[in-house]
Amino acid sequence: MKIIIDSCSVILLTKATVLEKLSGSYNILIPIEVYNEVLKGKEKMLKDALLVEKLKNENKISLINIDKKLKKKIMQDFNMGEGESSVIAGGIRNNNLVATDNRQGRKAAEINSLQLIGSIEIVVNLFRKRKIDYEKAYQSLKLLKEEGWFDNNLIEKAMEDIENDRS
Amino acid sequence: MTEVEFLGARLERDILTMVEDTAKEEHVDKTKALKDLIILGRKQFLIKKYVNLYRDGGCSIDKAAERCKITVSEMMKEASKEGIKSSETIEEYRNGLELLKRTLNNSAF
Repeated sequence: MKIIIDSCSVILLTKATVLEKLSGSYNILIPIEVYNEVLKGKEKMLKDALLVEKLKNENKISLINIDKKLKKKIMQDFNMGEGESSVIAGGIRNNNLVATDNRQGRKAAEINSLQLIGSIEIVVNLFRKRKIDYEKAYQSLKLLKEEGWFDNNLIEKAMEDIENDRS
Repeated sequence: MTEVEFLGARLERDILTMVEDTAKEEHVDKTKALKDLIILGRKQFLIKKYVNLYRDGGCSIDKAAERCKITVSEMMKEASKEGIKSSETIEEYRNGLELLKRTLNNSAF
């Protein structure tokens, strides 16, 4: 099973400082459209852009092409950009796990009955698999909380879960 | 060279003052000050419009970024500044964890 991941989650996982660990632990697929969207930040020296480029050059993430016809339909149906729609199309075509943290992406994934995950679950799972230690998992969740992207209750639940799984 | 055209517009005194103040503060002429304010205003106008559209489920974050001509990372910051949160619920979080446990933990990666 592979994880296909969108720009929003790539950015959040970079901010949480676990994208590199994730790419070394699981098979990560990034559609070319997502790669291009993230790389736009390179001009402004954004960390997510620089890290994704590095991971691609080290072959730690796989760039994939997506069925253009299906992608276009999803773009129109959900008013999505090329990156987000290619992730949903990739989930539909290949039954990959779909990682997205943005509202429209999650809505489209649910409507298409895709296997949906988010960045918070990824951090908790990395800890449960002992790919990262407790301190790292806690710090990552704290960084996600500071970003203000998620409901605080969700982050606190994840913090509680890693605390319970600590021993 | 970019082609320029004349545009006549009636502006209230307080708006003219904005242009004049900007010109003085930035040591530029009033035409340059007006252009800068229009460009900046248009950018903020688009950001506000697409942050609202994203919040209301009318577009994805990358679409919003594309329309505002900013990066996805910058668009996410704009949405966060407006207090817009992910729609993920505790139940979805639990389902996601269960899915990862079932699928990835039993595979060889």
